Amino acid sequence: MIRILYVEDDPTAREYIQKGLTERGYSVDSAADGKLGLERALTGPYDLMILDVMLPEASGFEILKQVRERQIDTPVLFLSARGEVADRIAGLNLGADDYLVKPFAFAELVARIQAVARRSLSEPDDGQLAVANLVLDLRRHAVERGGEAIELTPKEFSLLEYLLRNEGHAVSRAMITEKVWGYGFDSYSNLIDVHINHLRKKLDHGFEPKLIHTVKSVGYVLEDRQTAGP
Amino acid sequence: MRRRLSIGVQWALRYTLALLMTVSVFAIVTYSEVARRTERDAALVLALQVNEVAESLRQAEGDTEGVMESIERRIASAEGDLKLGFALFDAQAGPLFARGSLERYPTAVPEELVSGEESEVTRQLEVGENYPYLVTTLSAGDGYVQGALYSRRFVRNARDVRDIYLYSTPVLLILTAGLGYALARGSLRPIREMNRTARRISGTHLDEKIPTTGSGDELDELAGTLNDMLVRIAGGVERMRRFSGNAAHELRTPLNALRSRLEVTLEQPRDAEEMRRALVETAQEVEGLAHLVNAMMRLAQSEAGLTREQKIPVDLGMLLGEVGDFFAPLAEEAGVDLRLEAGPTVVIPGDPAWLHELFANLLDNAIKYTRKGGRVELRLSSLDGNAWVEISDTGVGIEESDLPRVFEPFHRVGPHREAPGVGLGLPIAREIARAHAGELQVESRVGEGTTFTVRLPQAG
Repeated sequence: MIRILYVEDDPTAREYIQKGLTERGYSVDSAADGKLGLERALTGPYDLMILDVMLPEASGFEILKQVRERQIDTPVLFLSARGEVADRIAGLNLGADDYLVKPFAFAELVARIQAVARRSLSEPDDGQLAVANLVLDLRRHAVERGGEAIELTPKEFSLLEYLLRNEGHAVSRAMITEKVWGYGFDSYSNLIDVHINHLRKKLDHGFEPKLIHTVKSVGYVLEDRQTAGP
Repeated sequence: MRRRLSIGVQWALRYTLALLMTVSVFAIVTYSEVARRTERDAALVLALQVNEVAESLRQAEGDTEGVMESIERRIASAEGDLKLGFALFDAQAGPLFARGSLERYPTAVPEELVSGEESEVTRQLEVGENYPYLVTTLSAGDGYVQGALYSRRFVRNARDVRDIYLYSTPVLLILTAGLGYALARGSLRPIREMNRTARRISGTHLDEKIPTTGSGDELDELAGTLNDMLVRIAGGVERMRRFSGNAAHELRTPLNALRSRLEVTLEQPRDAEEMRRALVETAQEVEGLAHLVNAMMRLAQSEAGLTREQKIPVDLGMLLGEVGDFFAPLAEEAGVDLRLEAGPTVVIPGDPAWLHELFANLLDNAIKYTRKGGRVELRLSSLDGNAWVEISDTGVGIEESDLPRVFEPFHRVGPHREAPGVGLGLPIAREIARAHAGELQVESRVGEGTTFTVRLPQAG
């Protein structure tokens, strides 16, 4: 079971997020201020820390600094009401793994928790990402489905690569915008649907099994549901 | 803390000091010149008298009696205040005869005459009266003739001049100080007026103007500059006021829907499915609200401008290519032909994420308002140190009366108010252009299309 430390001073958010994560099967410890949060962060073994940036006693940045100084390598996800690019960059520079701006969708948080928790993805030895009869060759920059070459634009290739690296885990539209297009704005995340549809046409049209699936209120997942089960 | 002197007093003191210095120099020069000239005049008058006596002595050829008589006459006929005096000496400088002032103050023949070094010597003789006597001695025949003259009449002129300065200078200084103060206060009046107006101006009375005299002088210019600044501030405050008003309105409408739904749902006992549906709809509305708030946040951030550290060299052609690729599938679905024309590489200092947002907003807008079969073109060029990006569409166009308002927050254009979006895309785009020291302009013809032009300076 994944153990999460969640530091948040707003009681309503703390109650519901903790409840939601617990229901999803995570084991969640929470703290209401920076001092207590830091204490727990330094003592308990956690797989992931979710830190609000603005906290009484000690800020989320402060907690992360202290934690990293003691060589604790636990992945950290920041939550903040401040969306300034500079804050985001400051957080990531301190060694955070992700930075989520409030208000966020709960499903978005869960998708990011999953992505951060398995961030130590190892590079495949043979330079190939594969699922079912789909093979993406990173070195040759080529994609094949059932032995048949599929022509993709560079962005479509990056998008497919991102989905493959997160195989079996839902990724949100905002995550795709950030990771594939490199921009933190969510204004055009609905455009991601259009891009996914284009990719789908090339990838799933005339092939079985269907690999790209829509995950309601989250985004998309790439997986072979015939062998992996629903 | 020591209170500083007012500018009026400072100027009055400066004027006075300047006058004191000028008058002093002038007085010293005048006095010494007058003194020099009067002394010369006195010496000339005396020399004339003494030479005449010497001449008569030579002509008398030993008849000293006649000469003595003529001396008596001279003394008698001369004006009394000259206090003339004459004396005669033998070849050994022994006194023979003395009359007038020289009888009272007998004066020896100077050494230089006796030794023969000089033939005429003039000395001043202080005898304890207010003015000195001038004494001229010269060799005449086998003796010496001496004449004396009281210098009062001559020297008094110089002293009078000196006294005039001494008595008039304080009066002049006081007058100058007073006048200087009055003048300074007079020319400072516009500043006091500005100060009073500035005090009256507050957040609620930004329409007050600092009065200008129309003289075109520096103070008038300053008043004009301040008034321009006030107009800009008033505009900013007015925009802010309108923005908060509109923002409250934009938030109130969905909040009201949300509230009604929740309250009505809670009024009656409902089955689980009905409750669930209400919650799902609520969640959707909240998502819309979150979008709105995020957009407001970005507008505020772009209004705050860019820091120096945020600016890096950005290849606009490449950036436009990326934005174009991002929107290409959307254009394709809408049946709109999307084209990018970029000439040589154009690089500007900027924040790539903000610039991406700027062009994404314009491109999204262009595609949204262009019908199937239409065309959207992106053109990049560089001219006069600026990068120019034109985004033109063959869409529905914007009514001329709507054009000035397209950049206003929450303003949605004409018959397309139902188009999705929160009405902040164009204001954000304009603020991003401004944050890069550039500008965003729009031209449009109803039925023919719209062109947005972005100018971004290449030097940062």
